[in-house]
Amino acid sequence: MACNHLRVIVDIFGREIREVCLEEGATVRDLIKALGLRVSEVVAAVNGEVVAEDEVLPPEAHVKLHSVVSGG
Amino acid sequence: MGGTVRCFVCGGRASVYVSYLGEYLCSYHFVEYFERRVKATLTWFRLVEPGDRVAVAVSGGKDSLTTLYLMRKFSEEMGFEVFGIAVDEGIAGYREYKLEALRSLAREIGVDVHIATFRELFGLTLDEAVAVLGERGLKVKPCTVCGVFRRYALNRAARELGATKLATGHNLDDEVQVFAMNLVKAHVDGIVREGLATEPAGERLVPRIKPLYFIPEKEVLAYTLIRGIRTPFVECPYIVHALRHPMRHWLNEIEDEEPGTKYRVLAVKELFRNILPPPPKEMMLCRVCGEPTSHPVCRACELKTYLLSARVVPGQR
Repeated sequence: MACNHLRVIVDIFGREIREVCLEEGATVRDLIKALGLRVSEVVAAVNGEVVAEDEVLPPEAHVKLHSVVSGG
Repeated sequence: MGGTVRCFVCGGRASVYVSYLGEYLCSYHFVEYFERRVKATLTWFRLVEPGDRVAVAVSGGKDSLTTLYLMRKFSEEMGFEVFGIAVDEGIAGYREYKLEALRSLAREIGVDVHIATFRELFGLTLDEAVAVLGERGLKVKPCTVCGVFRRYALNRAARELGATKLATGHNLDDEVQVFAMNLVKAHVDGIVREGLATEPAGERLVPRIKPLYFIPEKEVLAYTLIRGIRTPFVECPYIVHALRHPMRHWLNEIEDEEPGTKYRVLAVKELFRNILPPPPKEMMLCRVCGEPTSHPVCRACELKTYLLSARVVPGQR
């Protein structure tokens, strides 16, 4: 499906890579919530750099989500 | 709208939002803030003293690797020795990856690591133990066996290697989750026992300390990513059996709605611990293995008997 807004590529915990379409001006926090995840359970790196949740996502960003909740 | 949020100290690009402070920090100031709090925990509560020989219990996960890294970092300045103890439970497809990350960091920072195995200590791996538990209807959970055996293995190895303290990677989230689980199970002894440090309780029990006690788990992960401490993301296959899993998600949901919740819960836990009678100072020694215990026979020996009595040795029947 074509994305007319903000397209980002997301690596979710190294398990799955997904393309997500968000509103312009969307933040990392918006992305985490759109994926149905909890903000306190994720650390995000945008284009290879760890960023705060309120960072606005640039177009075509590559986002890697790291899970805080690791067992053991 | 600007795309970058700024560090409240220097105005640089923020890497971490510290929700309970309502402030953003860049990588540099976050690392400084993080390390300062761990060091303050060690000094303020006198968790370590000059001349101590500190064993760090290391699983190869982010919390224990961070603990090992920081204890090594502070060791020279604060005048104590550090080494690592890992426990190989025998969980195929999991433990080998964690141990590899551990060996790599230990080499990098120049720390010795000793490995104790369930097979050597208890005669079977955790995978084998879980198979037996399954045959018996999983009345005893894998995490129960693993937790009891690990505590036994770590204390014994630490003592035999001459440690004066045993540091673990428990963080704020661990403490709050365990407190909440103890509450729902009305397990008052557990609340009393789980603090920042254990009091000396006889020669055979190495006092335990928790340098990350006040650090949220999310900050530990951010720290490892910023510092480049590599931790493979592999989950223990038995985590699904733990009550801790739903408890952790529930607490995180509340934390997202009400930042600072975990610190408030921790504060209540500390109040409880001040009010409740302290745990006994002197431990008994297990009649079977001679290790410290609060019962005549220790839980590790009970579980070992339960597990091994179910095993049929070929050719003996």
